[in-house]
Amino acid sequence: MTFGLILLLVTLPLPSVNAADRSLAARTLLGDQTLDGRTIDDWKRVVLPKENERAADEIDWIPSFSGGLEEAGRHGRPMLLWLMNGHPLGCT
Amino acid sequence: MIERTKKFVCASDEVWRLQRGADPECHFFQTMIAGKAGALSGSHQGICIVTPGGKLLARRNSLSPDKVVSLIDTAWEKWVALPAEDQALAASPEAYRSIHRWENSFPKDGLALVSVLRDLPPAENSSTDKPTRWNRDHVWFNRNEARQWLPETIAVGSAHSIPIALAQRLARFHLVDNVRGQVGPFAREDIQLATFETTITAVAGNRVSLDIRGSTNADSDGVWKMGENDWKRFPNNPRTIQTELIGRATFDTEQQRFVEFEAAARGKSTGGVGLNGRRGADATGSIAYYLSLAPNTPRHRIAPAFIDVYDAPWVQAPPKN
Repeated sequence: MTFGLILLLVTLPLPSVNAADRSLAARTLLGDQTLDGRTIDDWKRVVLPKENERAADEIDWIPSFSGGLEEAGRHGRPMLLWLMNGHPLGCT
Repeated sequence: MIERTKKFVCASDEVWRLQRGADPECHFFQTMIAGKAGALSGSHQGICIVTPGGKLLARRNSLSPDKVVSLIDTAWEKWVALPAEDQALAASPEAYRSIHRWENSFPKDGLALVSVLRDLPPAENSSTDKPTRWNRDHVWFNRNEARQWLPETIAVGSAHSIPIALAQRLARFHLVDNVRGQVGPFAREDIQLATFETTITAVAGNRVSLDIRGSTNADSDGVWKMGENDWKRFPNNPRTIQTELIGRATFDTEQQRFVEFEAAARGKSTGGVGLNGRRGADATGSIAYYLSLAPNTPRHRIAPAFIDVYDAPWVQAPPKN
């Protein structure tokens, strides 16, 4: 690209944009939206359980009574069944 | 304890349905516990250890790790003492296979999210180094509903409010104060505000990027308004919650599904129902939520807590008895 073309491009007026477009462009250029001063990534770090809070997730739970019973029969092993009001792997 | 569990097939399930339902799976569970099919009263939460034939070896509901370890050891001793033919006796799947589970309605070509929520420390914006209570739920939208998160016109800058039915689903069932335990659903009439706006920020080939912003305000006077369903039995005291949400997502127009979705929300609640760890009208809560695409694993196809009152025609209800 020649110096003249570069000069022409940088001196051309930008297309006009309305206020909403400007705010959108600014938000996109600035990066993530924030909520109470925190980005989504910040909130993700705050909310998601740390490793020491997820010990139960180390177990390969079969997520139904019938599925567990079927697997127990297939492998000839007893079944340890964890029951809660609200699914233990969901909302209890 | 994790090592001990490796000798067992580990399963988990929601017990209210099992102890009260009329499905073959529920009847098998009731017979295993009480010797006959029929609704079981009281709470049957906790750990049950059973043979593949459905014989109960041990059962206990305890938060004490030592007691749970003791339960596991006791059950294992009973298991190894069983004659080989009893160990080998497996129940016929025909006897317990479910006819209806809410997971049957999993929207495999829609938008399935996992929502994790956490109690925030009392001081605003203070550190969460000290662990606080957290909970998890799943959020479902079918294929048509997923598409309704996008504006009709796919162009950068296009903005759109998601339909009220979808906004209400988030406000009534998901942006609620159940971080410390279950709470009942909000009725439609309780929702003062539920608005979620999406704006297209970029289009690259088939990929449409969205920003999401939303607000909800739910206010229940504690009077039950949702007719007959299981939640009617739940405590239903006055309570409120206001939330603000931000998010970003990418929709693939060729696959007609979201390939990325992340949102965070912040909620402030008052009141409570006791079971959710907030007691009395003066109780307050400060909650943060993080929603993301549910991984494609069986444990993330577990139905949302309020699936039975989702009021969505694609959700299959249990057969009428």
